[in-house]
Amino acid sequence: MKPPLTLDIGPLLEAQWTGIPVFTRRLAQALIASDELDLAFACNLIRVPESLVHEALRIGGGDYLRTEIETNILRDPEIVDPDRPVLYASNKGRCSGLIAREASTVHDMTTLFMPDTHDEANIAHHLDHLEAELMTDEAIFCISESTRASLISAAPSVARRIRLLPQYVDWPDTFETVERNLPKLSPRPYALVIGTIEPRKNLSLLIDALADPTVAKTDIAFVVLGKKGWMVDDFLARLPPTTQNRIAFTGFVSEFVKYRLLKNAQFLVYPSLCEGFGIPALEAMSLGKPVLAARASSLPEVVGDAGVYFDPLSISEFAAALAEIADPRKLRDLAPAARRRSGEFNWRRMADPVVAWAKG
Amino acid sequence: MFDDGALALSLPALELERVRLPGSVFSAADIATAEVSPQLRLALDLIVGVCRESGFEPTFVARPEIFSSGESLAWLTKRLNGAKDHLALSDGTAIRLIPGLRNHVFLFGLDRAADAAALQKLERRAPELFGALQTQVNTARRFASGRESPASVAISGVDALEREAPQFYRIALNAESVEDSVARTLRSRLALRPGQRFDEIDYVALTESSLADERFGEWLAEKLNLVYFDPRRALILRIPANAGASRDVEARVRATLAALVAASPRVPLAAAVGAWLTTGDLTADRLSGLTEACDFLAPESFDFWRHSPRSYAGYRRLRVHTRARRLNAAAFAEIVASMTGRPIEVVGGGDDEDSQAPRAEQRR
Amino acid sequence: MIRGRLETLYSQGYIEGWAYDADNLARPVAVEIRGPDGVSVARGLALGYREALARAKLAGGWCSFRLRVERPAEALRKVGLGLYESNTGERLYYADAVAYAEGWAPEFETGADGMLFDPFVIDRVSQLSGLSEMFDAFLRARGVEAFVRVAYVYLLGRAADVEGLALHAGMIAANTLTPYGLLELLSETQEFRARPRLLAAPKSQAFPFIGAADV
Repeated sequence: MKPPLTLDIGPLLEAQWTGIPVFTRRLAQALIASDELDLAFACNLIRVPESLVHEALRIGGGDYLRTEIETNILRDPEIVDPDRPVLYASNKGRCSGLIAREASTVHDMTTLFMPDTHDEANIAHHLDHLEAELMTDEAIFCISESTRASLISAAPSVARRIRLLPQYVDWPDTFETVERNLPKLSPRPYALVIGTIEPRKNLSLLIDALADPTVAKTDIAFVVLGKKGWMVDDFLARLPPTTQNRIAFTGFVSEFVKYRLLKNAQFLVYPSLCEGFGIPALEAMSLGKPVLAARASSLPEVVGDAGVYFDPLSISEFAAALAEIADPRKLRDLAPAARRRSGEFNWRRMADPVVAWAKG
Repeated sequence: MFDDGALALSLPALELERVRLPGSVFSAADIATAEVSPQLRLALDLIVGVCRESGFEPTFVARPEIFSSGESLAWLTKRLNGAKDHLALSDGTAIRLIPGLRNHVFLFGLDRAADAAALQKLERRAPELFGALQTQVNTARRFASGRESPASVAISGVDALEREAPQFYRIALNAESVEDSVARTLRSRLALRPGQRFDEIDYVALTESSLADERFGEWLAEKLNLVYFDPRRALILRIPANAGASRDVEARVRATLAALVAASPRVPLAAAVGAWLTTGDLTADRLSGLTEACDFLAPESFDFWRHSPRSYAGYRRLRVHTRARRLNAAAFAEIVASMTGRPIEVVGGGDDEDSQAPRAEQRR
Repeated sequence: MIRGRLETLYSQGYIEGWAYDADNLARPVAVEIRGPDGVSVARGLALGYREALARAKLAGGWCSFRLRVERPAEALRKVGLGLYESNTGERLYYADAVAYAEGWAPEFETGADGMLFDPFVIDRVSQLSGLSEMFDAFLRARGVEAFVRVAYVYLLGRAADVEGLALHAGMIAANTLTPYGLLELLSETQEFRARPRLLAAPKSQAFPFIGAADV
């Protein structure tokens, strides 16, 4: 008989899935694929029918799921079976300690150690119940070693209850087929940059580095996944036109567009100060693209030998690392390492720790 | 901390926001002219000064929290010149640790209400965090009941008196209106007269944090009541160095008078002969022309470390108002005594002493 | 039944055509083009939109493909090419010589429109106007109210309010409003215009108007 487990899929209720909702999707799909659990789903301890969750997984967004729950499920809610262990794909919030066997997932500790990069509401959401949540967790899943280390710094007493829960990449099968038949993007080689206006993503390092002579010599353009902020406009306006032309911003893009941009890029630039895991790095590596990565938080752990690293606060180190990775010979050398490294993260590695915990 | 010839230092991230750093690891020279808050600048001068006196330069880390494990931590550790200790200069919003090092904290800004409030939130949200600290510099906080608090270490003495001469105002309180109190008080500016004498003066160095403390406000209001009706006594309140982000005198006066009004002192609507506000630090020397019996009073959040023992000489007594449940009273008394060079008298709270509390050390 | 056709071979190395499964309009047909030697020269999915195909009432226009050929286009000119369904190997179409045209497709996408092109989302709601068969299948499988609910979520990202649900379900049931007509109506609201959304294309997994049989 398969061990029971209820997976809380609260993050899937977001309209657009990025970050934690995508993690939750992959977790759900990994557990379904493992076929080793008697799996049920819930949201804040209210049962959610399997069919609804499967449909949400197919659609890849949470609007339908959320409206179904709001309009139908909550009219006649069914509480979860308290004898089944419950795993939360993120934090538990106010539901701590209501079930005999609970586990939650910690993605990062930036609200505690980098509060300057969050608003107070977000900090309160993550931290106000943290102690109560940790106290009632039989297991605490951390999405990387880096997150585990940070959590242990904050709460040493939980160390022995922590298990790792690494993510994996899964592009839809159709993407490769469709992309193959489209024109190539841009005759000028470009690097794709993960960066938004969030300070933690450290896009300002790249913006500042554009004025560096070593960066200027590298014949590579930059396509930034994300919106320009007004401060970026001001800064770019002060650069010479040839430099301004080196950087483009995409705004919000769909998964397919991101896939295509990655597929056509030379490499990924990931200057982030702190990531819980760094799934964009894995996404790039799955397509054979090395990563120019900040040597910080979880990035070395994920990228391994498939990248070139730099101090995220040093323009000169960034410039030197960029010159190194932009060399076609280096890219050729790193591409196999990128694919190999990406292959080390798979759905089995995500499902196994959860199955092991559910088995008790 | 200072005996190994190397020390890693970190600062609040927001203070470095506008500073162009050469990298994650940098030196004191890289921030020598950076615009940081006055409190942080004083704290930096103090700690860097101690390091230099001990014969070495400290190594600064911009964001220690991003080097939490594995290769990134190894990279950082190699660049710390062999440091085995990390001192986090904290504004209360975060306390960052470097795994593998002995971690310490200097809460340099607890005189600021925002820092004090932030620290309280942090204690509530991550109570175990403080257990990971070896020592706390210049504070003796008891973090979360039942858990062992880090030992206290006293490091002091930069003697940062303001350059500008302090101004004096007679306090005129309208118990119904803070704004009226501010207007009347600011109109009552006074100059010290030669020959003006008091039998006793209480000089109280206020902090922004202390203004939010109801019990401290009540204690202050009682002192104010006394001087209104006894012309031989004077009460001089040194207004806090800041009111929120403002260092404007009017804002600081307003904050002070609002706290007094809230404490409902029983005083007439008139400027008191011997109840004054002053805008700057005063030493006993400065006050010796007014009295031979001057007591220095301060709330527990006062930054004693800003001054050398010389500043505290000449006072008849040093008295500190505390809320003992947050404080390791014995350790607090020791570190303040070592910072001031004088024994202190603790007043205010004090109903939950911890006789098992770790003793404080004197560094300087 | 699966239908398909090869239409044009372009000098720049693309071949254009269409294919769809009349029994399952939601499914993008996987196609393969083989040369006279039986070797594959192009593979892909027929899930694109073309106005001309919509006018011709072929799967509402959502059955186009444009595939890169793996040999120089000149070499495929005037040779027999067959269009096959990839999974079953069923031959859908054969031409002794596919019409040839000078290429107009760019070698590289350089503009923003090109870079951000996504065949899995629609450009405008009017591209759904030819899908009445699909919508009718949904109505038969799931009912009118379900259609209205899904339409609200699809376009507005929220549950249908009670009044809107009653009004529009009633109109569709009374045939005074077509299913596409509801989509058009909702796309003209201020609410829709105020929050632009990426709307899933009919042949994408995320398209919600799929009857039970099509899943």
